[in-house]
Amino acid sequence: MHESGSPTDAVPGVDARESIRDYIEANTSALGAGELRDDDDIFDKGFVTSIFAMQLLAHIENTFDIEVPDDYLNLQRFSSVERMVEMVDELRAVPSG
Amino acid sequence: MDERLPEPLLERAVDLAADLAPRAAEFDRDERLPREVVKQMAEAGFLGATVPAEWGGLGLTPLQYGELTEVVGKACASTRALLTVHTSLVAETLAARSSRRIKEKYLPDLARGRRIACFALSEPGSGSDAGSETGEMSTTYTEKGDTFVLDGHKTWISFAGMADVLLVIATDGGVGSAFLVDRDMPGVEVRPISGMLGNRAAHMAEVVLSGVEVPAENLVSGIGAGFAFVANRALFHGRYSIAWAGVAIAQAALEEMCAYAARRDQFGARIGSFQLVQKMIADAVTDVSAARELCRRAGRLRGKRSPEAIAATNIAKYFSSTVASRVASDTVQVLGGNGCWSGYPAERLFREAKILEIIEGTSQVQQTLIADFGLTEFSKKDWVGKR
Repeated sequence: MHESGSPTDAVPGVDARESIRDYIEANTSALGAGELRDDDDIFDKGFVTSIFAMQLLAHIENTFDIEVPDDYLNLQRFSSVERMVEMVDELRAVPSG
Repeated sequence: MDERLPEPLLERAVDLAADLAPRAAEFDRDERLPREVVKQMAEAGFLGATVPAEWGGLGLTPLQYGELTEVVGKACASTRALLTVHTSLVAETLAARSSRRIKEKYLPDLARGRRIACFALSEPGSGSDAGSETGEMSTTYTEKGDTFVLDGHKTWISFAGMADVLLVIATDGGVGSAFLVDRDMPGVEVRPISGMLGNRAAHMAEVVLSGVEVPAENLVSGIGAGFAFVANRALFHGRYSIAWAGVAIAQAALEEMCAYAARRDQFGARIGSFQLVQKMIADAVTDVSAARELCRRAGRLRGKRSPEAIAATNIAKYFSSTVASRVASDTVQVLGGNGCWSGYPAERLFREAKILEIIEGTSQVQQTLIADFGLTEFSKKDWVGKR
């Protein structure tokens, strides 16, 4: 788990954890899955459906200006706030090109 | 964003449609879209409509693609189905979500129509639930050295009967992945299906995969991307195409309805002067206009890569396919006995419209998705509209 001062937090302008949490909460079904924890499996717990993964991918790529490579494209990587923050951190640590 | 097809492309599409329209009944009757029509579509560049120019496509915007789909779909539903399957479901998906190696290997040929592609998701025991945990998808893949070995049975695959390349979704213990399978790989067997309600000329077939060894480089995106990122994206493109296909069928039916009502006499007057017939015409005019605007809204959002494009596409697909069915049904009603006879296009439009309520996600699947969107978006009662 990344505490404050993680690579993502160090990038000015966008806090990955807050941005991803906000985005999931804004799109969580109103029929409710309770309070979202950072390690909750958002698909298993019914916060969103797997179709939402496409939106999450677009949100992450657009918000953090990264390209998620093919070998990251599986539901496991997108299954919790924690995992997505880790992914964003990893991808931002790798120079693009 | 460019909203209309450039004039030369529109002329090309209108000319092609004028050639197709009188032959659509023959294609439907023969259950076969001739190769020469595929060649015409390829030469016009339409099979690469939405593929970026760097890969040999026309690079049309979503709205331009919509206009093209309406023009082609109004003339011949099976030719339009080729656009939906080959261009939207497969080529556009590969352009968005495949490796540079796959793009180099396949996209230029697909964009120029030198090879035809189809999308293989449905199975005898797996349809709308293909991507769910409770789905019964049985087509499997196993990693073996530098290859993946595919085994399974796909069905209701439009254009499998003539496709050179299949985009196949398979599972390994619930981990869905997508593969490009060449038709001539050993172990691929294609069994044509006859007797469909609509899209009869769309070379529908079953595909049986028996120990098909697919090179690892033909994995589309990563392992595990099959349902969530490849199939969902393909269906996102396919639904947009079907939404416009609904507008196309509804517009064709509306024109048949009005033309007939304006010349047919009963009880000493044109039937178009009867208020009960006018009610059907008024509803059709209104519905077709509304469906087209919903498609345009979805197109604009897609052009902006907005996350709202997903819900907007589902709404457009649901509404326009329903409208197509209703307008085509009323057209049969207005034409009476003639509407029930294959000498007029009404009965074919009626059959083609019904297909649109089923493919690329049934109306019931769309309703569920739209209701979920509604509950998320509007339950908080603080919605003030989006700009």
